[in-house]
Amino acid sequence: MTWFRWLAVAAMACASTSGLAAPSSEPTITAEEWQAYRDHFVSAEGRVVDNGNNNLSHSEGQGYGLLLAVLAQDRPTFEAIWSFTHTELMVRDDGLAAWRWEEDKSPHVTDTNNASDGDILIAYALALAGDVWSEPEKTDAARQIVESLGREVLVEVRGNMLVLPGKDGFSAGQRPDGPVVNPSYWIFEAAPVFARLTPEVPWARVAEDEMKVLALISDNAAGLPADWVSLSSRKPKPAEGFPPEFGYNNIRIPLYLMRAGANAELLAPYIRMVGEDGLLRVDVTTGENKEHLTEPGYRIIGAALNCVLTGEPVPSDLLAFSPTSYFAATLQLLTLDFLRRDAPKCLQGGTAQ
Amino acid sequence: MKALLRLLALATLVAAQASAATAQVPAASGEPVAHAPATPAPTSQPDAPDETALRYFARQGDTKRVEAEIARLKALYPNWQPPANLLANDYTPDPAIEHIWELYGQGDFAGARAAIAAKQSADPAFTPSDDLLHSLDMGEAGVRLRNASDAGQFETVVSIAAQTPDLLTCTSVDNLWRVAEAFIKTDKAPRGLDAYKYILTNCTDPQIRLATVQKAMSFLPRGDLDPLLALERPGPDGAGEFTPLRLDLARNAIAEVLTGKTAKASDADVSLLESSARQTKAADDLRLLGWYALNQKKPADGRDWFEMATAADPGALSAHGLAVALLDLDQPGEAEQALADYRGDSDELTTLYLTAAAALLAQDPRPELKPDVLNRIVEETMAAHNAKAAQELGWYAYAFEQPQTAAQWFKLATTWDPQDEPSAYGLLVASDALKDTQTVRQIKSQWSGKSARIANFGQTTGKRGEVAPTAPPAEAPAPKVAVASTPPPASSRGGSRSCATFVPPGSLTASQALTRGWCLMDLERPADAVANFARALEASTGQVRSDAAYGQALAYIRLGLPDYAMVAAAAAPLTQKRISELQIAIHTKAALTAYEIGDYKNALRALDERARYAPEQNDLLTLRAWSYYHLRRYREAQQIFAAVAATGYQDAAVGLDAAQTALRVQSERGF
Repeated sequence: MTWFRWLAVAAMACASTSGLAAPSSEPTITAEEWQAYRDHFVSAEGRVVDNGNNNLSHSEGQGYGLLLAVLAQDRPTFEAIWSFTHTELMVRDDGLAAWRWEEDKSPHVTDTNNASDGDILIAYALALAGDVWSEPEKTDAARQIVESLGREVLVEVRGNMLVLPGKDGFSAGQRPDGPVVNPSYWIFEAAPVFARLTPEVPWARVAEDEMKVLALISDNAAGLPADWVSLSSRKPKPAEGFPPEFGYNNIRIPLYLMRAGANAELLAPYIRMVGEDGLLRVDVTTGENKEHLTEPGYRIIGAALNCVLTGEPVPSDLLAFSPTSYFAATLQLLTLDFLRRDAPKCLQGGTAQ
Repeated sequence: MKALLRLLALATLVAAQASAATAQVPAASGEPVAHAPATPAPTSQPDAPDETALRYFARQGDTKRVEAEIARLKALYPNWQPPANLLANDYTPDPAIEHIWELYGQGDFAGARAAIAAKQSADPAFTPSDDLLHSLDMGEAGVRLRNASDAGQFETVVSIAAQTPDLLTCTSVDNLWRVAEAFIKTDKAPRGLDAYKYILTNCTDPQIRLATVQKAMSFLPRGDLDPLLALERPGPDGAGEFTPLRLDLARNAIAEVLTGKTAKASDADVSLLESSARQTKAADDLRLLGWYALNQKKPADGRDWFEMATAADPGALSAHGLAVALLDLDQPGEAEQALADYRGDSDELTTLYLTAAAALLAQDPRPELKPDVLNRIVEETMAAHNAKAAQELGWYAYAFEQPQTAAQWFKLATTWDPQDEPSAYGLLVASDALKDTQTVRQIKSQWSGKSARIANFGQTTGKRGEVAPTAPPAEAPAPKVAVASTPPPASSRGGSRSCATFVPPGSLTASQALTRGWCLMDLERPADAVANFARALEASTGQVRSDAAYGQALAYIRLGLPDYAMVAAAAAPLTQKRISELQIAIHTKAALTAYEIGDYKNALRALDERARYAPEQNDLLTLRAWSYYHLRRYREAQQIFAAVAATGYQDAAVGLDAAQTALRVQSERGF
């Protein structure tokens, strides 16, 4: 599929009130799965708790929570998470969300910088909610965030329009090896939705350029991009101060690509991250494998990728949802949503390993 | 009301809605609130209020919440009257809606939102009342306003306030304070001032009013505060409610003069604080006024304030100011007296004390100081190694015709400050009087290029006073009492008292001077002991000279002058035992001194020298190891620390830890 064809398909899907979470159909995340996720990670006050990270909360988690609530068709929980997100995190003068919130600190917001993927997820989920539940206020709230994103976090690097990881601290003017990007903050499936909300911002081109840059920054010993990449020189390199690795951040890239309907050519390099018993963290300077990520929520991304590329079904043990860490559980539900919606044949005939 | 609307309208944030609200009057209940009900809220107001919450709280017996809810509804619906009987059965509550109001009442806005959505999916016909939705919007906006304010996102604060003016009430005055701060911090100080004025015009709680002016004081310059102070009301005692704040402002104004921000405080501020301080005798205020008087070149006033402060609060703080005032008034004796008890409290006080002491000693004519006064001046001079005071002690002794003592003081002064010309000059004058031609020659050769009066010394009529403006005139009056530059110590010393009174060493026989030298050593007066041992060195018998050389060397060691000790030790033959003993002491002292000033190489050199006479014990081994450590010779440091730590010596354990850490860091860096 070409990028343009993908874009057209995705845009159509959204325009027809969505392949995503159409209210009449069954939710792609089951009531049982969602109940388990909520029990583990969503507090009564609408806070998504990152149990792998000192129980802090962040804009990314709130965004995932909102998106999953839409996919699970759970409007009450969406309302609670949105109330918390809006009152506690969305306090910045520019309309974006402060990224970090800690229960035992006062004030609770302990870093007012934004994290662009959090803002993208929040806006994307709000836009879907506005469509699915016919709530124009949610659509308006989404549009305001998307406008801010267009104004605050886009950067042009040698002709490519990209999303920076945050407003402060990543541009060429703000660090010697800037601009620095995190390619796992590029959530391609949101682009057509954003383009509809703010036609004046070239969101389609942003997604197109980001996919182009993905290939450029994978030209290294591992064949995979580093989580944090410096684009200061023509030859991309791992950003200063971060481990030079393809790691926890970037294992999301193939998931986001699959969810956006990207073609096999774009997906194929990521099969490198699939190990025998889990996903691999890989040193991009040496190509050495560093660690296997064995939680089912990680392994299912590799299995889904394998199925999309080879047709081999996803093993059934990875389809059972039993929450472990916030991050793995979130990725598992997003992968299940993808499989059930766009790749149902991957769910058939798998055998337990 | 007008003020609030103006502050918002001028911020061009709600300009369109402002005109509609001018007809609104504050609630008649007596406590004006800042609600602007005629200003359209984000959700429009229905005709009748939702009484669910009110009746629910009534049935729960929660009278506090009932009252709050009645106040809230009255503010929103001025024509509404609460039902006569809140418990009447004419009203069938919906438990689900009651539950939502309950969540709202607990501040669980997320839970209330979720409950509304849940009820809607169970009952698609359900529509929440506008009152409920408006209440939730308000509740969330209040939390968001506080969060934005805490996060320093002040444009967000102003924007929330503009969209939700109902938040800005006397009962939620914290919101108003935060909005005022947000205006000031986004360069709209006049709007911030309007917010404070609004509170002082409309809110009656005395603590809130006081706190409001305090907030304004922390964010606005003094000049902007007058319009707020003009809104003062009389307190219960008849005095203005802001009296304590006016005093704070007066203190701040005076403090700004003292820190050099302004040249002068207003007369009103000064006299306000003066009359208060006279009445309350608050020592801090009395001292503040004292310092201000000194700053304004009124030392007599300053002295009076500090005397009052001393009466109210005797101690170093009051004495400090009093001494400065007395010095300004040219009363160094009184200043020395005032500081005597606090002279060691801080470096600053020690310096000030010695300044007073030097000025006292330098007075013309020379005062005859009591032994206890002279004693403490000497003690402090020695402890502080203060060259200026030592020099004045020199001139003082010289004036009372004790050139030997004078020379000793000048010698100390030049040791402590080798670049000080007046001290060198003093030593020259005293040495000349002692016919010490060697020292005279030495000083002249050292200083002639730098000091005309030293170069020309001896070429004039010989009247030293004529060429020495700081020196005492030769015709200084003879002392009526002996100058006790080294006074008696506490009586507990018993037998040592025999050397407590000053006797010029030159007047003693060599063996008397020797005995006296040891006696002075017992009294911890090594400088005087040096002079007596010097006299004893002139002895003809070898044993006395040997003892004297030994004693003088020890005395120099105690004075912290190991180089001098080396020279002294060479002045007469000593027994091998004493040589070892002295060498050990000299090199120990040299090592400690070098280490203290960070000269670790010489510390090690001295320790190596010392090691020729005696092995190092734990303390010096540890010193050696630390020296290696500071020279980044971590491996050697670690070895010694480890050996010493193994004996249970705690200091070494700390060092071992440090050395190991340093080694680890080094290896990590790949050195």
